[in-house]
Amino acid sequence: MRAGRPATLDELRRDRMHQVAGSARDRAKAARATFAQARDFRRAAAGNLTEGLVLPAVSALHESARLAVTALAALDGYRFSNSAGAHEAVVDYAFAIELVDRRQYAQLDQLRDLRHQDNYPEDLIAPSPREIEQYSELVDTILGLAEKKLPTRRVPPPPN
Amino acid sequence: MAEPVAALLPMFRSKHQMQILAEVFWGAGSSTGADLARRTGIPQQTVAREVTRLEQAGVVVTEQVGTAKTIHPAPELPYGLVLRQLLAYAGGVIPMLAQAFGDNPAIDEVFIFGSWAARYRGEPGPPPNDVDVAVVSDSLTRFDLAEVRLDLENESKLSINLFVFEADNERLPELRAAGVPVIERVPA
Repeated sequence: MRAGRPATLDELRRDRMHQVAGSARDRAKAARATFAQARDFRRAAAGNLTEGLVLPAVSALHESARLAVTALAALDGYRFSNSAGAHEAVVDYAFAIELVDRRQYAQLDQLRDLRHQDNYPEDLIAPSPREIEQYSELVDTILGLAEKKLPTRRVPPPPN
Repeated sequence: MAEPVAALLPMFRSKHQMQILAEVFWGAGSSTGADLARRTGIPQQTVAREVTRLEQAGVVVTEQVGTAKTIHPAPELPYGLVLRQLLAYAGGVIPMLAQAFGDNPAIDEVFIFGSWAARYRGEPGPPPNDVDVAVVSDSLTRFDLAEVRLDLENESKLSINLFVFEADNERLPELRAAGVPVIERVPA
């Protein structure tokens, strides 16, 4: 039997996350670095699809979304516990901080579930081209929403 | 000959009793004995006998509506919530899926396969951790059905793996043969 989901923000912070010491500037820097990795995985997914590697693309898309949400947790001064169910916690966190609505939450959780079905034969789980397109669009949306929440890097004024 | 006990959760008196309880606790709205017999494939006389036993034990109540008698879960059953949860795992997931997907015209067929289906069919083995559900549709994807899956998981507390297959998928006959049917639409 599975526990009720999604977990609330309080439950996630209490049971599935750790607070990270550091200034707001440190947190913003960590968040931007994590978000850059999210972008890298999105590009990797596109590359996988070009080469016809569907399941690696699913994995990279999931990683991209996971890192985008993890970046926002870093900005908030938290990191996810490295324990069983950590990926579920990331999806729940995306909903708890209202990054995604309920439908997107369900779709992101479906991507997570698909990423974790590696014990099934590939021909049972491989998504259709339309389905992979849907996941790609969802991840692009999540990347866009997450990027808006990140503070922009301060560029020093040009010297006189 | 008595119907064998269900291998999934062998604590019910018989598989028939479990199937009837699963329909009463998870099926759509009010059911008569005839409804239960039709949905489960159990002879109506057997249904009537089991319902009488369950009513005497206070597990279900019946209500006379016109000429029909409808059967409901007993509202004040002290262990009602726990029983409903157990029934979801033991067989209630079947009527639950039928309700969730039954009205969707884009879905041709739904069945359960894998270890849950094997236990349900009486094959002994360890308790399955999740339920593998095959949805046959030429136009839908898992992504389209993600919210339905979420609702099903929240309602049942079961872990549900959704697989969507096009009608001409070569694996379907093999999976179907070892599966438990939920929805089978007759082609128009």
